[in-house]
Amino acid sequence: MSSRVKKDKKQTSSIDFLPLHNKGTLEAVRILRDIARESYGPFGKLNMVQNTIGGHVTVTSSSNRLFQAISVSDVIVKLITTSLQGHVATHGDAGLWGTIMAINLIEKSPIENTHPHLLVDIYEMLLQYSMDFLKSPECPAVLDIDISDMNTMRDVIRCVVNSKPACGLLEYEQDNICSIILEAFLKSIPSSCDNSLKFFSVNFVSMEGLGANNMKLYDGVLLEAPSIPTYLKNPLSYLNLPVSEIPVAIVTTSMGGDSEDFLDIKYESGEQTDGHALVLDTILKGLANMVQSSVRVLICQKVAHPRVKAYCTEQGVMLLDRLGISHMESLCQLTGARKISSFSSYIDEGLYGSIDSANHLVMAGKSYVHLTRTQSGVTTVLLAGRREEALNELKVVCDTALRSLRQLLWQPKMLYGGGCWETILSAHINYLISSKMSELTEQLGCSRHQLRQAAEAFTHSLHDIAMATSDTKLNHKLDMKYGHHWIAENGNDDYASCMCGAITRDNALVFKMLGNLGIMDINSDTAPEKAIDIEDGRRMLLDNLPAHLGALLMAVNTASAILKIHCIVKDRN
Amino acid sequence: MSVTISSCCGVLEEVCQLLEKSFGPNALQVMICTQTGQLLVTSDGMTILRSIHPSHPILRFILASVTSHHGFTGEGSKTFILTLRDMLQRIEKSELTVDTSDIHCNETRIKLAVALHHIQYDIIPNRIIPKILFHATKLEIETNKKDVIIAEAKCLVHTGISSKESRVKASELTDLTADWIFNSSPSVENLKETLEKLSDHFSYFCIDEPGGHVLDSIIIPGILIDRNFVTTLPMKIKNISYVILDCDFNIGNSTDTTSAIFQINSELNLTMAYSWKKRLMEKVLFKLQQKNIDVLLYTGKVCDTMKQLCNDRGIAVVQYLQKEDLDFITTATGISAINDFRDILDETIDKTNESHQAKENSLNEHTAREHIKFIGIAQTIKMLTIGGKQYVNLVPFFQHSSRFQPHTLVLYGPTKGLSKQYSTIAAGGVKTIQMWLQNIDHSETDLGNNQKNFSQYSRNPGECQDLFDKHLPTPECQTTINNPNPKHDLKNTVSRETVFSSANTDCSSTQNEAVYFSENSQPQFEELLKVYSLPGGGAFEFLVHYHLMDYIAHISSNDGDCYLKTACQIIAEGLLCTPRLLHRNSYSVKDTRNNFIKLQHLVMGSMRSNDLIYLDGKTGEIKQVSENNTQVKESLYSKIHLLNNILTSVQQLLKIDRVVSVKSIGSKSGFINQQSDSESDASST
Repeated sequence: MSSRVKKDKKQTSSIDFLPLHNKGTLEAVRILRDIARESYGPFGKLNMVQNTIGGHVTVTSSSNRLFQAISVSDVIVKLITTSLQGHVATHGDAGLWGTIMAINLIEKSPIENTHPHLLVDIYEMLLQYSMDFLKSPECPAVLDIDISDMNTMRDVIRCVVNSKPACGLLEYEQDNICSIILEAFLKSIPSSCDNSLKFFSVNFVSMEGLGANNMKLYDGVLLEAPSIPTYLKNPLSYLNLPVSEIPVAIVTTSMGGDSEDFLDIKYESGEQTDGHALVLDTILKGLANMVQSSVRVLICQKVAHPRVKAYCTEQGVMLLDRLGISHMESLCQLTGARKISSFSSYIDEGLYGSIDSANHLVMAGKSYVHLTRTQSGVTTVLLAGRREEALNELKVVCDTALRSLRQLLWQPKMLYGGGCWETILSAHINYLISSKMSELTEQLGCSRHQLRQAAEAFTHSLHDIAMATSDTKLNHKLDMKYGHHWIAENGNDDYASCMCGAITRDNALVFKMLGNLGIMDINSDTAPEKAIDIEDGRRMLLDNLPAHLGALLMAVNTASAILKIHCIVKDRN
Repeated sequence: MSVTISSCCGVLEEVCQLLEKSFGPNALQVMICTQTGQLLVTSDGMTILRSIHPSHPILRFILASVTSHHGFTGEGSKTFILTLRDMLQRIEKSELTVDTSDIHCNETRIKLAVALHHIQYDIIPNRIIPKILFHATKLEIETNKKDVIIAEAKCLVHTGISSKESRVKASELTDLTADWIFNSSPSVENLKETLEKLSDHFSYFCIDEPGGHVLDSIIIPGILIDRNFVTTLPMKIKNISYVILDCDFNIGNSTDTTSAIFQINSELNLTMAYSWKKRLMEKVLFKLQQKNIDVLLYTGKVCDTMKQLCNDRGIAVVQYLQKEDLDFITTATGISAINDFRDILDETIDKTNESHQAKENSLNEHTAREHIKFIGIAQTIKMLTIGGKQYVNLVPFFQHSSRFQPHTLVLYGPTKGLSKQYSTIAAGGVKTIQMWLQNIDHSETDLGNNQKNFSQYSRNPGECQDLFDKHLPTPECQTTINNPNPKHDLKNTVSRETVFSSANTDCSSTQNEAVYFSENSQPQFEELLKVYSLPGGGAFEFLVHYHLMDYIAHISSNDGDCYLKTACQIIAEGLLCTPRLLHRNSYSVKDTRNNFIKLQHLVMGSMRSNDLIYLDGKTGEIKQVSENNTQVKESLYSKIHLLNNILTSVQQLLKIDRVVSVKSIGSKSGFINQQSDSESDASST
């Protein structure tokens, strides 16, 4: 007998005071900020992430995939990434925006001469003002979207696709995927609904090795069918009889010969009795009833026994098994069938669904079965790309784009992109501070200097994000009339239009340099106006409103939590 | 290892360094990185203390005391440690306790402990508390003044929360916590019972979800079950019948177990064994369908056949309920689980059962014939998605006679750690209100000569009430309570009665005429329930300090009294640690803060003229207590409880002479090697 019993002694936790004064922490935070900043916007650079011991290489500029790929040891950085990951899981977008904003607030905050509590109170006041401002009906930073205008809807998708260079799409390929996503979205909207709107599912099938010009939208569902040889021509012709509908059954229980219906007891049986065979017989009897009801397609979530497969082949029933739970929902939506969970009880014919056609497709050397039904809005997008990483990025982009479009149905508003909404918001904050300075200092219990410093930290953080949207480091300007963001091309003073494209150059416009614009540098007599004369058909850069509101909320809260941390206790056990 | 006062102070030093900056309304936060990698950001004292894992036995002993105190009151852990440290430091510096080289317990420490005991059980309850009651606010809880009680409760809860979160979040969390508690309690009479239920099943009634903002937090009527429907959703939208099934179709009854092996000889027997479970399920579900049951809450796993059968009969099923979930659902809905499916088949669940246990226990005649219900009717049962997770929301019918109307508080936070922090804050709020509703309980104190008076009053609540009323002045002022949250503009008028306990006369007369309350003499809810609160900001500590110093001046300076005098000074000075720290952590733009000693003199001066003032923890300014600005309130009961616990801990530490640790056998390096079985190795250990 050999055993070693080690008596573990609990270790006292380590305590580190003032973490924001720690060089290592500050360095880690700056690195994260730089990664996020460099990846932000249409000119963002790609990040290649790999574990030091090797393994899968992730190439991305998307916050969703980036935060999942990088491993973080510093606790402050971990708090930031965890917080923003939660935001991205909810909203699907603006993760990088939130990261840059949170870290900028932490770095720019005047913690030396302002108590952290007071700073947090000021930031929360500014946050509340910003949320109220962005949600107000006549907000100058928000554009009302006409969801019946397909060009505008396509622009919305293009803004999402454009911002992710890791997809590796050329311009015409981007146009193609935008059209495909828009069409899939429109088809997924049900024609009628009761209290709750439930979209038809949009599935994605990735095809590595094909060029992006092969991307296509299919009505119905595409299922991989490795059991059908690729060289066969029309192997499913026996299904497409001249009937309007092909009956379909969807089974979610195992057809492999095992069953949960047996009691959990020990039993012995003789040679003539076999539980396994009994279960199979029950399944085959159920199948026989299905065949009698003219079921021609049998879809099984789990595995099917070879005898079951043989029986189906004999009876001319197409069997698709081992599909997994991921396809079940879309197959139920497509066919209108209800799931059959057991063969032990009577199977009502009302549980069956139907399809209009089942075709065999061969793509990139693989067999697929294409099931369609006219009344259903279920679609499948075939994503094609030469690299696996490009495909993974494209899938995330498509998902984000669909989410943005669905949100537009509830709230048809978008923010002016290209850094414009950030500069408009910062201009309004400057106006608020300069016009209500006395009132705010009284309410917050701070000095004018403290309020000004904190507000400048807030607005400079917004300016920094606005400047990150382009690759030029010079000539970022703000117009005093509308508050939009402008950059001059080729380093001269030629500002044709603002970054979002809403406003064209007007000689009456007065500009000021962005960067270190202080509260007192802005004309505080009037707030910036809303741009009203926007040319129809103009291609604009737009940002998702709910996602960016959520990111702003998350960033300020995370920064506030970190600013108030005075020590870190690490459990070493 | 010998234990000296300086060693006790030493072990507390690092902990206090951690807690000092996290004290008061300007508290900074501590980030805790747990064993599992979870990150918590908190200023909650108990959470911070639990994360330390101290190795020193004295520190562990002290933390055990704090844990037990916090478990009862839900607050005060930081104040406990900081005040304890301060008192120990004063004892260390005191002339009476100069540690000698003698390793045995110093006789002076024992005498000091005895003096502290006398102060704790005689002087404080008989002389100090009656004087404090003069300044306490007593709120009469009447059933038709629920909004007044809500406003007062919000004040108390806000006091605790404002030290943990920023202004906006503190306000939001205060509203949420108070609204949740009072929504769950249909009337004031049931408030205590409601608080007990919320506290006992807190993790079910309060759910924290990451990935959102606290401003998105909501209160949902009914309960949330962390499960999903495995069948189709309920067809009906309202008036849904449901049962809870806690038995296994597999082996029938949970008590039926067998290790027998069954022999199946023929195909027919095999078929019957195969179909036995299905037939049983069919029978049970048929009976349930006859009773129009729409939803089945099941503790086991729903097999495929059962799923099919339930779908066919239109019965929605929730599976995998835990035993702990059953207890919670029964508490919330009053519906008991069916433990044997035979009860369904025999239709026993339709009959009213008498509670046999209640028959034996004849103390409470109301529950003698208790109806145990197995079939519940819910307003609605539906799926809810909260923070990416799916829950079953069961809303029982809220009748007018319902004593408890369960509501669930859903708190959002950016990360799991922060959302957990918010739920800890809400738990603290529940305990704060529980503490506030406690009467001053003198049953735990040793009253000495006044024992006779106490027992007399405890047996005769009527006499107690008469004596109490004798000292009541006529209500002098109508005052206004302003709700601390400007969103809810509640302005209520309440009459405040301050209690005189002849405190203005000499101390000796106080002994016989002081008013005592105990749990046994607690008035029924037909009478008015009286609760006491004091302003925060160190008001209680200043009061005790002042009256103790006053008492010291009255003590004659003979030898027997020198320990008593020193002990009084230690307590009086030690308690000022709280306002001193509040002052240190405050910040003010106007910079009108003076040296704390100057402030102390101002406070004492005010107290001489019976004015109560307190320290504004935000700005460090001294403020006069008036009806309009007393937004920071603390329960008097919990402050007294805290003081008692601190004094008990000090006495215990004074009496500890040494720590003796036991090493395990044969563990020179803490490693027990059992590779060898030889006797010689065994004998060497």
